[in-house]
Amino acid sequence: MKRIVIVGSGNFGANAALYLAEQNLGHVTLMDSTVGLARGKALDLMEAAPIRGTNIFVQGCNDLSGLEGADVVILAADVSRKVGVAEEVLYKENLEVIGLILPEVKRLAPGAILMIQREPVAALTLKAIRDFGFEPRRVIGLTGLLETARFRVFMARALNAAPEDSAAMVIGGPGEHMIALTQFANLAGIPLTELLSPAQIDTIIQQTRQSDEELLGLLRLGPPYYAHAAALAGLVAAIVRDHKRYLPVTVYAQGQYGFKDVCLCLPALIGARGVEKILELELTRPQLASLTEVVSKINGLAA
Amino acid sequence: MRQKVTVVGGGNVGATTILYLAEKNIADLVMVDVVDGLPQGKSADISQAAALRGYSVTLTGSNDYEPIHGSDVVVVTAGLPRKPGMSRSDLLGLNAKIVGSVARQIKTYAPGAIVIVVSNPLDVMCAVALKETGFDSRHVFGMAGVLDTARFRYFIAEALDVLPSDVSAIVLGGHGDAMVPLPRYTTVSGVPVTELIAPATLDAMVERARKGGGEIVSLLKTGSAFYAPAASAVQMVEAILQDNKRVLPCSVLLNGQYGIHDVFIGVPVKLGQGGIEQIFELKLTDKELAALQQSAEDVKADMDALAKLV
Repeated sequence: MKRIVIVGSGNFGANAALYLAEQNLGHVTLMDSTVGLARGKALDLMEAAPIRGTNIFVQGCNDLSGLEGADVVILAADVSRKVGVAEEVLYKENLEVIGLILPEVKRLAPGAILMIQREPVAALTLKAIRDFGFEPRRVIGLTGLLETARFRVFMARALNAAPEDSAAMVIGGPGEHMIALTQFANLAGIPLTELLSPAQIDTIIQQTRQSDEELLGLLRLGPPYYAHAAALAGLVAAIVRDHKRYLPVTVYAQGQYGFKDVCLCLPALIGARGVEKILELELTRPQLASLTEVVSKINGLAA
Repeated sequence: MRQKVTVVGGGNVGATTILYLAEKNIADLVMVDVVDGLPQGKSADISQAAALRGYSVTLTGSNDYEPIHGSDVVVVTAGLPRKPGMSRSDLLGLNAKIVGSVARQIKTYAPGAIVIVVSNPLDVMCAVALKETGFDSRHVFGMAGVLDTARFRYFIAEALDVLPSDVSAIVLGGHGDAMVPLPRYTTVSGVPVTELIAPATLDAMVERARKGGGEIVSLLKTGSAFYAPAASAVQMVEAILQDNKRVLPCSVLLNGQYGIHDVFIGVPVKLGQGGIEQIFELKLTDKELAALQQSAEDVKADMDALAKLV
């Protein structure tokens, strides 16, 4: 059984553990600096096991010793992401936190694949690779999966079709920085461009870009987490089970699309070794121009 | 036409119940909560996982009860959570008011629904829901025993290092502190657990299961359990929607069974599309029967206390 450690047991982390347990993906350690929180949620999840038919060990831990021997380490927010905090402040805070965690990951789980949910994702992913010396294939930033999931749901809704029959790929960055590759979106293979008008497709893009803000506005106390946690579980499954799936994730570019030494969301082949390949697709001129702009924006903090 | 399930209460138990139900992809789902934005936000969040998780049911969040029209099952999780140090009974008056008002809405908007009560103190809240809906008692009952047994089953599975779902157990009586375990009816794939675990160890597990809710509260500090409670409620919902005829311990109104009258208390029942389709009367030892009757007396005392409050 693989060992998966989730550092941060807020709503995102705990629900990620739920999805991982439901998929029998590995033994899960929930970690949080708040004493009792991780253990309480882990025990609650275990007590659901007789009903859910799972046999996954979920344990809670409130220090970094739990990283020992981890195959996958997920850096999730420890409490819900603060609402309305400036990106620079968030970056500084989270840089400090990953500065404490990453050396311990290297020491206790030297082969682990690292996933970064903390924000800003691209800048922190870049730091992990450049300053902490993690191999690029072993660091995956969690931007892109959620956007794609949302795009697919909005697209399915517009078509009154089952969401799982929709497929789409996005690149770039989070929210406003997302670039949807609408030319590749399809419903069971049928190009989206044949099913909806450009204006309708544009509405789907806008819905996707604004979704996080919209849900924050509704929930008020913090960001949404269910869809994001489900997306993470899919990524972990691809690694643990060596699925070799092309997934939109934030990766380190080494010349792809003309970018070097920066992080951005691109379609990447995900398998047991982590990022096994970055797929280079033919982009339209406007898409490439937008991407260049986005890349400098989302990497600026880590420059 | 797709079946429909409503969950009242958008807290962690309610939202996790919606999540587990969405994953089954068998019924459209409605979440109702008084807090503006909360049920809408959580429903939208869970619906945005649809492409990844492969479900296509509709999820709706609402502050009013109009959308619950036509629900086959309504799960009532609304109520104040139990804070550390608070007993279930402390919550009595406050939650009776909430559950009573929810029940009246269900009566108006979903008169054909089967109602599963999750709010605490459970057994008394079932009585409140039955009274305020005026529904047939086979259609109003509570989730407690499934959760209590889940905890007991997990502790046994952990000790024996076996698949948790291979452990089966039945408990009787009130929720939590008042539960009456039946170790001789507890088995691991049919093997009586009494053959596998020493009585003293088993007693300790019973005690831990009794205090299971409190253990989670003391760890989380700012909240109470929700994953196992939601999984428990969902198992009951599934049994009804799919007419599974599952035999599960539920809090139901007894009318003479076990010598108990007019009290909701946990006993094994058969659960199907008709709700409570059968109440099993087990042959209990004198000691077990006395414990069950005492548990029923405790619930009655709470009901009397509540009657004095209003």
